[in-house]
This record gives sequence, structure tokens and C-alpha cells, in this order.
Amino acid sequence: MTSIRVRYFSILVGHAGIRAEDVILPDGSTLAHLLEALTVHKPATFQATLLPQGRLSPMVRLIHNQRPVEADSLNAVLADGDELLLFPVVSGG
Amino acid sequence: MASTGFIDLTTGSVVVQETDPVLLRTWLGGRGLGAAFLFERVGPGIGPFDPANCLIFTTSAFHGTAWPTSSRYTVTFKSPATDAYGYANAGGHFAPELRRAGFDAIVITGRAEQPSVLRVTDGCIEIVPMPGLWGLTTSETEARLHAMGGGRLACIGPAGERLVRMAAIMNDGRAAARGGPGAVMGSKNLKAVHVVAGRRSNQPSAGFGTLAKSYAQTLITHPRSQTLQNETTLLLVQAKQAVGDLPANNHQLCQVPYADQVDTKAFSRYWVKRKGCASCPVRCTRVSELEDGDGRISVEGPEFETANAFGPMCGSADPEVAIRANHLCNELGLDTISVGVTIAFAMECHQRGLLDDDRFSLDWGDAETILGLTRAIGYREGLGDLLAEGAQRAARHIGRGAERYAMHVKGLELPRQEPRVSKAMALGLATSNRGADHLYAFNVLAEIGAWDVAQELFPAEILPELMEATNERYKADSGVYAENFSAVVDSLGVCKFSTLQNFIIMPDDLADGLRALGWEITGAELLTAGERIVNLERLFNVRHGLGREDDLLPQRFTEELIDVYGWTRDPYSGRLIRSEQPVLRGALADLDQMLDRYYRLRGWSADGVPEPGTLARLGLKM
Repeated sequence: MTSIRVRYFSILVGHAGIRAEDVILPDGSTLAHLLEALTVHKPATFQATLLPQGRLSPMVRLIHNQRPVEADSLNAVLADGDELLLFPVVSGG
Repeated sequence: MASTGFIDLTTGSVVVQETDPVLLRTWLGGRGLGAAFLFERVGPGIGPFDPANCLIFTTSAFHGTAWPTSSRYTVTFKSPATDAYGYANAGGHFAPELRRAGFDAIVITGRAEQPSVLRVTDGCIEIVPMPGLWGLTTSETEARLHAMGGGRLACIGPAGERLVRMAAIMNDGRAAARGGPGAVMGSKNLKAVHVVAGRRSNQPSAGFGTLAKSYAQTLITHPRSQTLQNETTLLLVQAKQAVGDLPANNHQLCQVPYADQVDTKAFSRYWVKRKGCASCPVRCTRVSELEDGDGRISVEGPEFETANAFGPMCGSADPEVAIRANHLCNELGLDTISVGVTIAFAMECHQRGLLDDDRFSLDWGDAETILGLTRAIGYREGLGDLLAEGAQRAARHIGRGAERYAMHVKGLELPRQEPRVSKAMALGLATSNRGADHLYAFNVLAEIGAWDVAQELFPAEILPELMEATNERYKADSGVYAENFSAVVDSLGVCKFSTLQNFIIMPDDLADGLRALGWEITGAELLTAGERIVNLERLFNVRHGLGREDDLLPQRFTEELIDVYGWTRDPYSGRLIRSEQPVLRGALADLDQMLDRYYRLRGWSADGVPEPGTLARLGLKM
């Protein structure tokens, strides 16, 4: 099994109800699998913010092991001990 | 080598001399050069509308070249909104034209006997009396002067002529707006600066061209700039709605159930074409059009700030109101942010029984009030005459506690962020030396989740708190960096969207470009120059009696909490549904702590005054 450390920022903390959690997934799981797993047992507003219509919101930025994740890279396979940071993106005006 | 023109409109004196290269190297150009001239010439005894106040147009070495997004001139002045340091800048095509005409700066003092135009051609400046232009709108002025030799111009409308304290200078449909530069120009009886440059290109070398092209390519292909290209700054509406950073009803709310009616998609129905500034590969602007009573109106934008100021901030869900108000502001020469925020102030005063008007209902969302008051402010008619003084002064006049509803810092109305949610913005609005403005620091590192950038700049142990937008502890750290970087960007006349908005072009990259132009400079030296500029601007304000007590936000943000809700969509109607309970409670817990750390990092006293050691290190003197 693969254990991933997940940390939420800003409003995502409010939606998730927690700042961080460890998620255990089967070996070979991808970032996309992880995002789906994160929505389980969380309020509907969390899913609406992270995965509206089942796709990663362009208003959420992912940092996987200290590097930004592009939207077309969600099939990257996770390794045990990986870290994912989730930021809602808002910028100035 | 370019020149500086010194104009005295009272005596008619015009002196053009080569710009001191040491001055340029120290202050970079643009905002920094303007600050240096203003500090030297305008002391506390000179009021914003005194002939001795300066109005200083500045360019940079990048202007007129292919350096990406280098289109922004700066205008520097003592501000009639704040009675302190003021500058504004704008994109378009005016800056490269002025640079091609051979000018780093034009320093204007005095007051012309008759309404006049400065006509600038290659290395020459002429004061031309043109009383027939007085009273014209900005587009009418532009049309008249374009017919007299083409070129580019920066001009004022009726608002500047009437000394409206939120009057802008307009060029190419764009506004140098913040702090009332249009009113200073009006006080000088100066209608326009009309530039007709003979030299059509300013490409220094093949090496520079290749470098500029490569940065332009990086900019347009970078993932962080894609959404801006596609959706304009209006992309912020839904993003801000999601996190509770969408001010509404004069900051009584931070989200609205009608966000879908005022977002990119809603406004895109009025878009007719895409537009960009000089040397910009991003081209983020859209031109909107709609039918008006007198014909078809056309306007660049609205951008997010304007769409919010005349939308949710005034309780309006109607994009057409924002487009019309934007158009009116451009024609009359007004700052859309300050006008919208001042109207919202009047609406809240009415809500609380402090203000009524014979002509306008002052009800939230009332289109007639929003559009009618915008016009009335521009022409100083009726209630508009009071509101033309800005929210702070109008509140003092109304009294009975109205000051509590005036959303300003140092007299300048707040831009469109919610300080109880975005803590970096809160600190930046408070410390900005030109009064409340998001672009003074533009500290958005946490807001855009740029963890990879933050890693390069700050110690790992502070990153989790620094990158949490709602955490206050280390926002001073990113704030100091962002203010210094912003000062560099403004001084080089480059757009924030290529730099601090997305951290694509960084100080080392700008130094690369300058070295290709023959400068000997590094990214670190640029940031020190930025620090020097911020400190000089601070000194200007300290000399005018400003200090820590002026680095405060309106009471609403430090004394009232604001609830942030989660939103889902009804699967059948698609309508937004608000969560029953808030998911976050926005609060600015300890602005004092943020200021203490900010002053310490800056090398300033607890009162916000630069320490002698800091001044010595930066080569500054009080």
C-alpha cells in the first residue's frame, strides 16, 4: 500500500474540516485516484471546490513533492511517502 | 541616451537636458525616477493643487523595445486623495511613443494661463494653448489631437478639469488612475500630453531582440498565464467567490449568490475583440460593446477591479451597469475603483439612515444611482460634488459615524480584495505608501499557491504558514519582497501580469534584459533598487507627517468578522446553493503584529520611520 501525506490550504481547510491527513491507497494509484479518494466522507462543498463535474477545478493548484502539477499530469503514479499540497488559486485583481 | 524635459507652465519655460546617468542607474526609470524627482521638488508646504506640485511622466529603458509587456508609463505627483505620495501607471501605447520621442521623463510644474497641450516631438517639447479642448471628453480630445498629426496622448476629461480627487489620466482607453493624477493635471490647466515620435523603432541589438523574444515565448506558453489569456482578470470572480474574497455591499459581504451573473462567461457576451498593450504577447484585454441610448458604446474591459466596484460592491448583478459605468469613467477621466467604492459608501450610509438624495435612491444595486452618481461625480453635480472629494472626506462631511463606512487607507479607496480573508493583501493595503492599493505590493505568492517560487525565496520552516493565505504570521516577509519587486517592475514599466501575478519573469530575468541593453546590473541589485524606492516613498510620507497610525485599515476589517460559505450547484437548475453553516470565519486578528514584523524587516522604527542605518545602507537622506 502507498501512504500519501495531504495538506490543505485556505478555504480547502474549511471544506475538508482538517488541515492535513494521511491517505492510504493501493500501490500503483495515481494523482487522479488520490483526488477522488479525498472527496469521500467530505462535505459536498469540498467536492464542488476540488472536482466540479468530476474534473480538477482550474482554481485549485496541486504541489506534488514540492513541484507544481499540470492538469494533464494527473496520471502520475504515486509512491509511498509522497506529499500533496492543495491550494485554491486567487490572485490579486 | 534619453532626456528629461522640465516644463514650467506658469512661465512657459521648457528645458530639455540629458538625464543624469547616475540618477537613472540609482532609480531605474519609471516609478523610481518619478519618486526621486518628486522627493527633491515637493515638500510639505506644497498642496496637491498648488502650481509648485509636480506632475512627472516617466518611461524606462525597455519602452519602445520588444521586451514583453513593457508598456507602462508612470505619472508621479503629490496626491489630492491622500495629500501624500502619489503615483499611477497605465499600459497601452503612450510609454513607447514617449520613449521613442527621446524622453526618460517630463517634469511639469506651474499652471498655464489658458488650457494647454504639451506637444512632444523628437527631443522637443512645446506648450500649445488649446482652450477649445477644455470640456471635451477623453475620446473627443483624443480624436481632435489625433487629427493633428497622429501619435499618442495622455489626457484628462471633465473630471480632471473640475479637480475631482479621483480623476484619472487616460491614454489609449487605459487609465493612470489611482490617487487623482487627472485632478493635478487639471489644476495645471493641462488638457493633454500629445506625443508624436519620429523614430519608429528602438531595437537596441539583435542579441536583445532574441532575448526578448525568448522571454515572450516563455510568457505565453507558461501554464500560469494561460487562464489570464483566455479569461482576462474576470477569471477572479469565481475564484474569489469560492474563497470569500469577493467584496459586496461595501464589504458587508464577501460572496454573492449571483456570482454567475457577473463572471467571465456573463461578460463575454459583450466581447467583440481581443486587444493588447505595446510589446505584449499575452493580450489579456477584451473590448466590450453594447447598445446605449445614444448609440453603441465600446470599452476596453471591464477588468475585475471595475466589474467588482460597479457590481457586487454596489450590490449590482448587472454586467451592463458595470460596462456603462466603465465607459462613463473612461470618457470623464475617472478612477473606476475609487468611484465604485465611494458610491458603495454612499449606499451604506443610506442603508444606515445617514444619507438621502433628491435625485438618486441610493438603494443597493440601483442602476440609476450607480450610473447617475458616476456622471455626477465626474461633473461635480449635486451629491456628486461631495462624493468627488472621495469617501474619506465625504464621510467627515456627513459625520454621525459615517467614517466607519468609508473604505480607504490614507484617503485612497480600497481595491477589490477582502482583507479578512487575504491577509497578504491586508498588510499590503495598509503599508502602501500611495494609500490602499493592491498593486503596490501585489503580494499574491500564497494566493496563487506558488510553493515552488516560495521555496526559492524563503526558509523552508516558515513556508507552511507563509503559504497559508489566512495566516498572518509571515505575510510581512513575502510583503517586503513583493513591494521591492513591484517597485522594480513599475520602474522598468513592465506589467505585473508577467511578473508578480504569476512569477514567470523574475528579477534575474529583468536584469538579463537590462544587461543586453548595456546596463551592468544583477537581479539582487535590482531588488535593492526596489527597496531604495519604497524607502524614498516612505520618507516622502514621513516628511508629510504620516506614520504607523496611517498604516491602518478601516475598522470594519479589524473589528467585524465575516462569514465565508461553501457553494454547490443545484443539479437541475444549475443555481448556486449556499452551505447552511459557514466554512470559515474571516477575521484580521492582529494587524499590529503584522506591522511590527514588517517594520522590523524593513529596518524601520516601531512608528514606521526608516532608521538611520537603513537610510545609510540605501544611500538615502531625509
